Amino acid sequence: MKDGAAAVVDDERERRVVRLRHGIAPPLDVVLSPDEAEALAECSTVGQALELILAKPSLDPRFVANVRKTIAGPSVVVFEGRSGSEVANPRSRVDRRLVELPFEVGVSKAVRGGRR
Amino acid sequence: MSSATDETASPFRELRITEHALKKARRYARLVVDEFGSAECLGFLLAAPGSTVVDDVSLAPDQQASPQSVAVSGEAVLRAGREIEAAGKRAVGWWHSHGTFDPFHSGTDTSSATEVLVQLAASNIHRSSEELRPSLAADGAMVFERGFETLRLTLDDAAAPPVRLRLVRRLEVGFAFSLVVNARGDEPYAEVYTLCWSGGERLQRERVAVEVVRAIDEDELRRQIAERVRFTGQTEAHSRLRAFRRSSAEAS
Repeated sequence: MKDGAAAVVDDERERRVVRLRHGIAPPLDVVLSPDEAEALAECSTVGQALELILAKPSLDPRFVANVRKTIAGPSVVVFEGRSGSEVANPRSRVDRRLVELPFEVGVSKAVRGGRR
Repeated sequence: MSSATDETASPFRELRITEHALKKARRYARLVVDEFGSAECLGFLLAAPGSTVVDDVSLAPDQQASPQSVAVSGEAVLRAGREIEAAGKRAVGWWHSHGTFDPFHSGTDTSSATEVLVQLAASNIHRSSEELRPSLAADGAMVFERGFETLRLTLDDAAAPPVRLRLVRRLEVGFAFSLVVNARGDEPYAEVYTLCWSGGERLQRERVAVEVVRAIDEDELRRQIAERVRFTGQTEAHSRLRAFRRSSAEAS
């Protein structure tokens, strides 16, 4: 394969990356297939979009299980992409502008300290 | 969630933190009190990749602090994660202050520490293995016991030659520390939260001592050298030197 061809493949791959961040943990890059990328664009809620990303078999099942624990309760989902950023929750409708690949999606709960 | 009840609960007996990092957390606590009166603050415990020694603490962004509590939104936690990544560190837990009150763990703290563990467990994994030795039952079966788990092996063919079996159990434990300090510089309070996947998922918490690493931690440096440096210049002279050092060390 020529260098130029390899670069094209890498660019194509780069275009389908979702960076998945769970709170303060190091993020993971998830590469979607063209079909998955298309399916992502069809998701109607943030929760559905997340489930599609979490279904990738390449992800550590322990990481996936823990992300699911976080989104099961009150939590936020933050999209950061070329079109800007938005804070949502898993039940929100997807803003199609924001799921334009590549983008970063972060999932987290608030952290509180207190004497009670 | 339950508190630890047996030796499998946690591979950690203490939270190891450098003097600098502990002083920094206490200083944040004191300066926040100086600025706002009795108020709490929070941040994250940072370590070098591959290490569990806390060598720095961060102050989380966008905190809502009061005399009884402090809160950081989910968005701000994500922002803290980006800051930690940009600094080339990894989070091994969280810390917070109780203003001028005693350090301890409240119900709110336990709930947040559990969420911090859920975020970190898949990337902060302590791996170990242990060899289980069998005992021989009256009927000739080999019995491997550990805690409440028992594995019993019976060989069908009595005429088979003696068999020597080793059972190695691999343990993987996700972990996150929680540290509480105050502005008075009192003895800090720490717990470790663990998520063990061996034999079904089990989440536990346990109070641990705080060990302050005051000087250069040679054990930690040796561990890093063993992990990162491979010596390829083996010579006769080097072999003799190592043998001499080993025998000197044994003699002393």
